[in-house]
Amino acid sequence: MNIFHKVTLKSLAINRTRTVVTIIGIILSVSMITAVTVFISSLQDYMLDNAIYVNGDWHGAFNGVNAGTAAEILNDSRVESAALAVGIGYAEIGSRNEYKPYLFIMGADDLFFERMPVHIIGGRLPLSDDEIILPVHLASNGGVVYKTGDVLSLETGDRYAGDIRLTQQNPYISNDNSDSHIENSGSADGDGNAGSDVNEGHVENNIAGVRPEELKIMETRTYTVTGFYERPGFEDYSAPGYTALTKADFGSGISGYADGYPEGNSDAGQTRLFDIYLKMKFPKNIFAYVDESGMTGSTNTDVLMYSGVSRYSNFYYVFYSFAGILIGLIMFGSISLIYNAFAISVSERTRQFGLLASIGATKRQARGMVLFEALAVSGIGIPVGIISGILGIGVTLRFVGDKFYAFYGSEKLVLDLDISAAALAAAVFFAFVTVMISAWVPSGRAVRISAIDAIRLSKDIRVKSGKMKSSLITRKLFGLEGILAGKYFKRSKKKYRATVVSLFMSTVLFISASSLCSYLTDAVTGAFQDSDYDIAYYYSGVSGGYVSYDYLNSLYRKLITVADFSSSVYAVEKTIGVKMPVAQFTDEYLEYYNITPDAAYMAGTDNVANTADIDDIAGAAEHEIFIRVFGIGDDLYEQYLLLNGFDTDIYLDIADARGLGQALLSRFDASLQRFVKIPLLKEKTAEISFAAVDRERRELLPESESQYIVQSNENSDYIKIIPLKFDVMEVDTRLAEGLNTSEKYGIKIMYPMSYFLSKMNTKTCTFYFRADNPQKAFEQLEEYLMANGLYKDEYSLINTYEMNKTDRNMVTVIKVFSYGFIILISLIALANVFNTISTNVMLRRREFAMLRSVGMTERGFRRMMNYECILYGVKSLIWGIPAAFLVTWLIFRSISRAFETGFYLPWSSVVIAVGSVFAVVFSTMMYSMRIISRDNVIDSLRIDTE
Amino acid sequence: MEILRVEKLTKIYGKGESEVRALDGVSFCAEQGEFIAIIGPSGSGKSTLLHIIGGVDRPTSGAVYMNDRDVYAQNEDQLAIFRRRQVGLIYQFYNLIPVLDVMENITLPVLMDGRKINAERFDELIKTLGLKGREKHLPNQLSGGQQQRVSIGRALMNAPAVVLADEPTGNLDSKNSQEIVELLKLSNRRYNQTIIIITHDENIALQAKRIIAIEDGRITRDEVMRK
Ligand SMILES: Nc1ncnc2c1ncn2[C@@H]1O[C@H](COP(=O)(O)OP(=O)(O)OP(=O)(O)O)[C@@H](O)[C@H]1O
Ligand SMILES: [Mg+2]
Repeated sequence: MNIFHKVTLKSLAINRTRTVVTIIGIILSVSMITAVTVFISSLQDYMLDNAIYVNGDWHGAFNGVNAGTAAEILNDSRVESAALAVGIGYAEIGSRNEYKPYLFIMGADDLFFERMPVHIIGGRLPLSDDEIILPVHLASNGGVVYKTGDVLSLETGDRYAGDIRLTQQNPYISNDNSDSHIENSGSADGDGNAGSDVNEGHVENNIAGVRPEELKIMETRTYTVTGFYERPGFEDYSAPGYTALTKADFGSGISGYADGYPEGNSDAGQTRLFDIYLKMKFPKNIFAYVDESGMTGSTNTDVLMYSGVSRYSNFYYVFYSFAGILIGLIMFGSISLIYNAFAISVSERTRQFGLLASIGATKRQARGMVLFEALAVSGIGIPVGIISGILGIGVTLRFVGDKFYAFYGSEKLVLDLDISAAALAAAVFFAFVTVMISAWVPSGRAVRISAIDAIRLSKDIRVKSGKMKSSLITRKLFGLEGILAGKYFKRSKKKYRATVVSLFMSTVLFISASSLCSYLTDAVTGAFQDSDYDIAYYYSGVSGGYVSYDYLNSLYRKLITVADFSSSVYAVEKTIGVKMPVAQFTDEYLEYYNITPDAAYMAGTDNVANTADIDDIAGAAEHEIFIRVFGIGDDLYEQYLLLNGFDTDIYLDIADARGLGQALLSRFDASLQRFVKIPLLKEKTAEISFAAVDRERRELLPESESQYIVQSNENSDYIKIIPLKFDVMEVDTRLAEGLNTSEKYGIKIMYPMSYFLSKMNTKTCTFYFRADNPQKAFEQLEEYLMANGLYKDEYSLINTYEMNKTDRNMVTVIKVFSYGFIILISLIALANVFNTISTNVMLRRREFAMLRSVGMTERGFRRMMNYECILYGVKSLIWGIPAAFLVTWLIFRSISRAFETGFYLPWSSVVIAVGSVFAVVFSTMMYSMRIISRDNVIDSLRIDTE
Repeated sequence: MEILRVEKLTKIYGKGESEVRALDGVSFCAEQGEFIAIIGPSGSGKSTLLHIIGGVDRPTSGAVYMNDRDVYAQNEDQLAIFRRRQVGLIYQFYNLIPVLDVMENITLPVLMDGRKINAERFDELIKTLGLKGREKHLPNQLSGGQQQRVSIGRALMNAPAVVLADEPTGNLDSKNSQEIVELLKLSNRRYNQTIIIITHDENIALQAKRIIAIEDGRITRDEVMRK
């Protein structure tokens, strides 16, 4: 260690508090940077997990190759290993999805089950070639229900369009979709020649236009169902067969399967086709490999991308720029702290640097001292920072890692800590750059200190005359001590400016970060569907006809016994377009309607939508608005009426009921920071009428045509005009349970169901349920519906509770991260302020001792310090608060582009900011003064450091 | 042998109205082994002259030759090395590095060079300075006179050709002052060093072999005392 390093280390040791605070500052910023980089690497790993979950863990794939080719690929020296599956055949299973009439049986090897996205939901994987697992969408989409243990006897064979053999990559060709064409997947092996490569030729586009495809049965196979698995990523949406997996043993080589079908079959020579999913020894080579193969292969784009093999992607752009902004902010905040620490350290040692220069230290040696100081504090700060950053993000992810599916990916995957070497390297790099930038400028200042300045001590003390006048107010309020403090301020503008600037930045950062957080939370919560039910079941006439009240009522009675529901409602619904006189709408609505073009668009009136101002709308006689009309199960509606104090004689009159309407516009109230409800209609009661197809006459028409009549020809004989009357409820009254979804504006009217159905007809009905255990109730209901043929598709039964949970998780994640960020940034700012103020006080030890020696009392000191604190606080807040407001406004501007929100200021954060500024300033001052007051006057007068 | 030559040194502070001519065409020579006292009223430019000779301040015009080498023709780094090896500066306020102990402060110029400390030389020096046993003390644990002796030790450690002292006794009582002067005289005799000392103390000035008087930035008197 040379003498300069020694001097540096000793100075660090003597200014222990400042050194510790500086190191804490470095630890904080390094840990934040580390948190960001490690988070990004964890995110990348999570994306990779997701890509593997969906697509499987492989680099490249060839579908529909024959045995010879498959063997060649397996034996290639560049290929590390490959998962293999053989197409055993298609079987008709009576699917109700006309485009997916088959079960496609595939035999897969162990590697296939290990690497491909085969996610078992119930049961277990097949262990032999007479066991099978089925995909869940066979039941949910195809309506074919089996259970574990069922034995399937299947007539399997191959699909042909003319002479051309079809694969899973060729969608189903029926009479109906005869204009569809067979994709050029290159996998239709037409000639059946075992030695040939994958057929590259096109299947004639309209070949199937002539006739539908045909299934040639080859053999009969028997399988036992051992389980079910999630709809696999390797099955295209347009694939004609539900993929069932059995176990294939390729142990004896592929050749066992090459021979294909049992002897005696007419197509005995026909070869089987293989899907091969391979991993390369060097993943990078996959692109060249696929190119050179001369076959149509595919690469696992997402997996390759997230494992860093290929880099052209939005992911890198979005996440790296996001990380860049965050790291930039952190570096900005920390540089100001660390810079200050070094600047203070240099200015405190002005004399020392000058002195060293006078006895022959070169500039390089002077700069080296500051940079060595930087190295010394980084030596502790960076490693500790990295460890605490990893701990911090690790703990955070531990708590919120399982909630990330709310943003992206499968609910089954957890975003867990993944520390990559690159992330650590980046963190070290940025941390080092931060410290070095912070140290470089002060080191330049250290170099510029000339020997003569140090010897004469001329620089700091020179004061321009005329500037030292103190205001009368100061004199009155704070007396001589106030004047002294003011003079000190003026004398060392630079020193106090550092404090004011760091306070200023902390204020701005804190307030704007919390506005960002609050606006973001608003935006996310505002986008939520506020629903008051957990599960919704959409019944749509399975039998195809219109619903009847009796049927729905009995169905409802059955459904509520299926699971343990805490409450439930069922309702039929119709959305009607109604023209109403503009005079009936409230001004707020008209104004809102006018200023928001998309609202006008949604209202859908051609004549008014394009007009520019309220007068035009008012001038137009009518305005069309869509109204949702509900018919609620009579007895449930009665309960609702009684509960809310409505007159059942009026509203439950089955022959001539008055509806109960809700006509609302919800607008963001900036002062309340939430959406408020405003009436949409002026009057408390309204009558409307609309045109509908005459129910009796409609029966005579094909459905497509009746739709056409309503839209085009109001005077048609088939049309009947239906009048409805309703009373408008108070804005705060809620609709019957289940109907309270949060639209921005609209009219909803409730009627008893039997009244509704006497006026209008519908094929659908929605059942809304609430349950204490929504997940269990959902599963029970699902099972019941499936078993009774009431489950049409995935959209029949919606688990709203789960969806809302996702939204809530999203808010949790946003809050955890943004508050974490705010707290850490504030800590950095705090350390900064502490450092600057305490050093400023320490530097004046000698001055204080002098004042004390000439008789200044403790009270006098306190007065002087109070005045200084107020100066610090006021000066920084005068600039900081307006600047923070400006940033808040900018945040509002950018957020309001995507979400409706009103401008408001985060007053609670402002209060916290003002409070903390003064708290920090005063407590730091008190701390420093306490230390100083222990000083012996004579010792301080002898201090030779200045 | 001539060791130092100062030619028409001028130093002007400030500009226009507030212009101060601290030195106004000062020239003189010094032989090796001379013991020179510079005297003059306060503000006459003594310190300024000393600083320029010592290479810590730059003249407005004129030149300083040390061993026939033009001091201010050197670049900053060369100048730093020059200060380190060719001159020893002693100030009225001792200007020690507070975080370093006595030994480190004294050997600072050697340590800066990254050279090894000549233990014999240090031993001899610390005995001469009367600081034996205080090597590990920090500056604020020493009296004013002791601190000044440390700074003299630092100036002498490298055995520079020229030692410059700016009122080294200004803060000390007469007994301490005399000790300091004896030290300088000893060093002057033993190593044949050139010593230039600024002083307000007539007793000290009279112990010098040559006295240069300065007034308003000009040499008004330059006489060699007979011994
Ligand atoms: N940095 C400066 N800026 C302006 N004027 C200066 C500066 N340094 C010195 N002076 C002026 O130069 C003149 C010479 O100063 P110098 O310090 O050399 O005097 P001195 O003879 O050493 O006085 P003293 O005996 O009081 O130490 C003085 O008038 C002083 O005011
Ligand atoms: Mg002087």
